[in-house]
Amino acid sequence: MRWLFYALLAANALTGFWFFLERQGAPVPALVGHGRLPTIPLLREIAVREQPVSATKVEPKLAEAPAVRAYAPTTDPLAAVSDAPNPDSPAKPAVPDAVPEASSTTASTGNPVEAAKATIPAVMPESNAPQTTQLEAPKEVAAVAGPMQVGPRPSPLTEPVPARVPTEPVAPPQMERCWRSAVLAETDASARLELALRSQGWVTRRVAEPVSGTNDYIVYWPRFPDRARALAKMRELRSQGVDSFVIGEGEWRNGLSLGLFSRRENAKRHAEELRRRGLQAAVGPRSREPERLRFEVRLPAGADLSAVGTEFAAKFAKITCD
Amino acid sequence: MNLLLDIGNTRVKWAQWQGGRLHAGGALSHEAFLEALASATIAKPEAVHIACVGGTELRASFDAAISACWGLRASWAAPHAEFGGLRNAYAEPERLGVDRWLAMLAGRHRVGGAVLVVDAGSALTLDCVDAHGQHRGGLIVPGLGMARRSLFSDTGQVRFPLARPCAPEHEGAWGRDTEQAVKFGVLWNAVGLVEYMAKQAAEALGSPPACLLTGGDGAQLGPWLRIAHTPCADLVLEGLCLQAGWELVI
Repeated sequence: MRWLFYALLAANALTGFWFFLERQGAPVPALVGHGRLPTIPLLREIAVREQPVSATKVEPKLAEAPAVRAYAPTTDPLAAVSDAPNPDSPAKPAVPDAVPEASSTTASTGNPVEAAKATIPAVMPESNAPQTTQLEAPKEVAAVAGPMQVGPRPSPLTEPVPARVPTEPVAPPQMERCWRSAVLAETDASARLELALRSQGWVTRRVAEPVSGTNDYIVYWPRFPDRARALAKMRELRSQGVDSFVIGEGEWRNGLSLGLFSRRENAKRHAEELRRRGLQAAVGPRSREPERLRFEVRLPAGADLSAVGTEFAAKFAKITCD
Repeated sequence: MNLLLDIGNTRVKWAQWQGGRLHAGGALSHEAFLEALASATIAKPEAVHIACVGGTELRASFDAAISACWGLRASWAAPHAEFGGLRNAYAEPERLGVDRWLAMLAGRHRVGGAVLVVDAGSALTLDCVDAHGQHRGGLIVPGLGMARRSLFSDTGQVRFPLARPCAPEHEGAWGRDTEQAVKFGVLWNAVGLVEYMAKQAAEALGSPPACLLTGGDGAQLGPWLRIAHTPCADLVLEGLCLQAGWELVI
């Protein structure tokens, strides 16, 4: 029985030694499993991350958080001073992957992953992170100091971002004016006006009005042999106060449009009135459906609406800018 | 601003190019455009690029007006034997209509493969380009308006407002008066040609080419086509940008 006693004693000693070895060789689960550990052990861990045991045991746990991939390589001290691949950091991602993280200022004080995020801008190449170019502290120092800056105190890394710097409010241009045109009866005139407005570089908007299909009626002066004679008659009529446009196309091409009406009775009444004044005026169904367009234009300060021609400028009325 | 003009047989279509994008404008008659130039109401552009299918007289009138108004020399596009990977099928490349050439150029740019360009303008033109950029050839027939007018002017009994809208109520509708008979007939004639040639092109190329529909009458033709097609209102102007060497974001 004595040999059995010695055998059990030896087994007991071996078991105790084995437990002792287990505790010594497994520091990482204890570190990761207890978030209350201070920040300093994390930084030390980064510094010794090149040791295979530490690195391989940290990664599976950190991989649960999406920021881990950015965390481990970008806090690599080698990466902080060189863009050269680090043979000890096989899972190093491209730096741009970490860029969105760089602007994060929400790291919590006790979480090593979040704390590590705050260090990312400090180790990014300056060309990829222009807002960090004013950082004068050595990058290694910044990496260490990063976790300590989270919390209520604003990170100096975010201060140079122009969007957050309070600036003088920009006064809106006070001299801008907006105008809306009348509907021009003739499509060529409408197209000419749009060309003139847009060529000026002014902000111009088309406002199309519903077209009532084939129910439109046109009062027209029958076509002239050529456009020149139509234009001459148009000028003559305008001098008499009768608004008219030369019809550019269709079956009444080179005739004069004297008005458009949605109801035939109104068109006939207008034509009769013109005839009483000694003018030729016929009524016909509108032969096509051109868009009834108005134009709204925003004039910059100093611009003159008459640049599109006084004839067109007279068709505009002032409106309130949106 | 760079001004682009597509001078067709009846109208001038204009657009502006700025910052890699084409900003579509409108269309107006030749006379109205020349009057606008004469009235000095159009601000001077940086450059003017023109595609013109009209004769030398029309071209000269625009050249003179542009020069007088802005002191600019317009750049007039012409078809090439080869440009941007597109090879002209004509033995005399310069005899191909510049509007067809530019529309093919833009079509190839848009599609990146085999393309059938249908331009329903004053004339109805069809052009087929294979996946390698080889123009297989084209067809020219009277456009919808021209076909109607030819019946109107060449017959004694066909009298109706030519431009009055007269759309069929359903596919394959028969006309119940002379106006409908002419207008529906002209429409189905065009639809049938496009569908027939699309089928022929598919057989010749091994697969159906992408069909792009442009031209002023494209909106009349498009709804009745039973083949997949894409309306592209400004294909000629897009081609003008490309041939001018300007970047074009579609």
